[in-house]
Amino acid sequence: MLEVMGLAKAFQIKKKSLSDSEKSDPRYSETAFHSVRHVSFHCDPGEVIGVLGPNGAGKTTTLRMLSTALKPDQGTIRIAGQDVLQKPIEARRRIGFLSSSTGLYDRLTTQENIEFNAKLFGMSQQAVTQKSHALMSELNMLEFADKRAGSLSTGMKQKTAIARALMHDPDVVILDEPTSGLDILAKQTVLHFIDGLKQKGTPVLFSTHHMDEVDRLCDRVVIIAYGETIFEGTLAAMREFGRDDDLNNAFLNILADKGASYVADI
Amino acid sequence: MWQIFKKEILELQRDRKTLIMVVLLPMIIMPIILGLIAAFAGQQQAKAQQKEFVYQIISQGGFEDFEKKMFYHKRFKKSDLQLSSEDEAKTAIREGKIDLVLFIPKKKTGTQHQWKIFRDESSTYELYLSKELHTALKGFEQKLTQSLLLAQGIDEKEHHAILDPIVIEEVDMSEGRELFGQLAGPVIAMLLISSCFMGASYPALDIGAGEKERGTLETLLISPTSRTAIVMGKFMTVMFTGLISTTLTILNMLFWSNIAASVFDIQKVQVILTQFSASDVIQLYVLMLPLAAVFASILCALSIYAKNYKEAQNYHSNVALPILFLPYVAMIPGFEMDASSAMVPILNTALATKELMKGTLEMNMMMLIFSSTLALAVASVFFCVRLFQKESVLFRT
Repeated sequence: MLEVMGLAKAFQIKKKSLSDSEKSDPRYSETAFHSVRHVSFHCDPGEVIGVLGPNGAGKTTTLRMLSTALKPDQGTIRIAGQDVLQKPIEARRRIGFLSSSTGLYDRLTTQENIEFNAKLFGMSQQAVTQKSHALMSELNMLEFADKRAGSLSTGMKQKTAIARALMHDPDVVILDEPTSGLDILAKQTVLHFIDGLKQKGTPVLFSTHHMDEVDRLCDRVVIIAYGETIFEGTLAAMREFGRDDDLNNAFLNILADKGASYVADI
Repeated sequence: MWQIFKKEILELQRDRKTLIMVVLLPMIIMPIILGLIAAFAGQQQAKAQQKEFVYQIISQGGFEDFEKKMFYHKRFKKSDLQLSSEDEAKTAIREGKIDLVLFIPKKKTGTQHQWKIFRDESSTYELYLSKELHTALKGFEQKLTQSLLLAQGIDEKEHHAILDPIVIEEVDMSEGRELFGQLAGPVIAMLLISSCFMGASYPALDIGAGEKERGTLETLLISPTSRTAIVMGKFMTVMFTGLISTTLTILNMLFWSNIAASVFDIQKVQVILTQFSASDVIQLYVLMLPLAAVFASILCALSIYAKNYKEAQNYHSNVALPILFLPYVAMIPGFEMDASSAMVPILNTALATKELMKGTLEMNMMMLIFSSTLALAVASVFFCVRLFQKESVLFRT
C-alpha cells in the first residue's frame, strides 16, 4: 500500500520580476516556485490510480518525489507502512518506475540494460540471469535480447523498460505518462503490462492525459491542479462530481470548479 | 560504484567518439600531426638552406674585392636592378624584389669605413640571410685587417694573437639525459598533461551532460545506489580514461622515439632511452595520478552542472584554456622549480616532469607536489560529490 500525505516541494527562482501569468499563479512567490503544495492520496494493493492534471500541474514533480528522485520539503510517503523519506535507499528497492522516455542506455544491449539495473538493486548474477530470462520470455523479448537499445523500435524499448522496472519485484509501480508519444502497438504493450500488475495485486500509480486509458484501467483517480490534490475518488465519483458521463468533460468541469474557485480565493 | 564504473566503461568503449578522443588521438592522430609538422619544418629548412639571396651593392669604389667575393658566393645572387638611392633600395626590399642592399662608401686609407646594410628583418629567411652575410663580412674584414697588419710590418705568425687573442674551448658537463630533459622535458610534460585532460574531457561530457540529455540519469537516481556512489563511479571512469590516454601517449612517445632512433641511427637517443628505468615511470604516475583526479572531478562537476551537452562543451573549452596554457610556462627558459612554483597546480607537475626527464627530480620536491596536488584533488572530488547531491543541479533545465 502507498500512502502520500501533505506532499510539498518548492524550487528557488532567481527572477527579478514575475510575468503577468506568473503573478496570477498562486504557486509563484518572490523567491520560489511552489510546484507541489499539498498532495495527498493513497493506493491500495491491486489498485490502479490515475494521476491526472493539466500540464505543469505538478504531476511529474509528485511522481519524482514518490520515486525518491526529488526530496519533498514537507509531507510523508509510506510504502507498506515504511517511511520512504527516512530510508530512501531501502524504499527504492520497493519501487518500480517507468516513463515514456524509457531511460535506456543506447549503447548497451537489451539484456545488459536489464542486468545493469538489476545489479544496482543488489541482485546476484544467478538471480539476474534467471529473472531476466523469465521476463524476456514472458514479454517476447528474447529475439532482441542481444541488440543494442539504440537500434530497437519504440515498442521494443518500452518492453525493455518494463522488464527493467519489474526485475526486482517492486511493491509499488509508478508510471509517468508511460504511453505518451507511443504508437498503438507500444501503447498496448504498456496497457497490458499495467493490467498484469493489477492482476498480481501490485499497486500502480500512473499519470496520463488519456481518459480512455483511465477508463480502461483505473480504479480511482487523483486530480492535481496548481500543485494541490483537488479530487480523489472512483471513476463513478469523478463522473458525478464532474457532472458528465464523459471523463474528459468531467475532468474539465472539476478543473473549472476547483481550479477557478481556488484562483478566486487567492 | 563498481557497477556504475563497469557500465560506463562498457558504454564508452562502444562509442566511436570516445575511441577517437582517447585512443586514436594520442596513438595515431597526434604522431601524424607531429610528423607532418616535423616534415613541413624540415622541408622549410631545406628550402631556406638552398635559397639564393638577391643582393645589390651601391659602391663608391675601392672595395672591389668584396664585390667580387659576393658575386662568386654560392648563396648570393646579384640583382639586375639598378639602384642609386636609399629610397629606391627600401622600395625594392619592401616589394620583395631584392633581399639585401649594401651601401659602401669610397675606400680611404687610414680611416674607419661605415657600411650601410638594408634588409627586411621580419623576412622568413632572415636568420639564414643574417648568418651568411655576417660570415662573408667577417671573412672579408679579417682579410682586410691582415693586409693592414702586414702593411704595418707585423709578421703573419702574430696575426692570430692580435686578431683572436683568446680562443675559448667550452666543455659541456651536462649528462646526455640532463640535456635531453632540459630540451624535451617541457614538451613531454605538455603532451602528457594535455593528453590526460583531453582523454578525460569527452567521457566526462558523455556521462554527465550526455546522461542528463538522454534521460538516463534519472534511472540511476532512483536506483538503490547512493548519489555519492553514482558520482564516484562516474569520476573513476573519467579519471581512468584520462590515465589511459596518458599511458597511450607515453607508449606512443617511446615507440616513435625508438623508431626514430633506429631508423636515423641516432645513438645518443638510444643511449638516453636506456637511462630511463621503471622507477622513473612509477614517479611519473605518482605525479600524474592526483592531477588526473583533479581533471576528472572538475570535468565531471562541469558536465553534471551543465543543462545539456552543448553547455558542458562550452564549460570544458573555457577550462581547457588555462589548463593547457600552464604547462607552456615550464618551457620558458630559466623558469625552474622552487617551493612556490611547486604549489601551483598543473605547472608544478609540468616542472616536475621536466626534472624527472632530466633525472634531477628530488624526492622531497616530488612529495611536496604530490601532496599539494592530492589536496586539490580531494577538495575538487568533494566539490563534485556535493554538487551531485543538489537537486537544483541534477534537475537544472
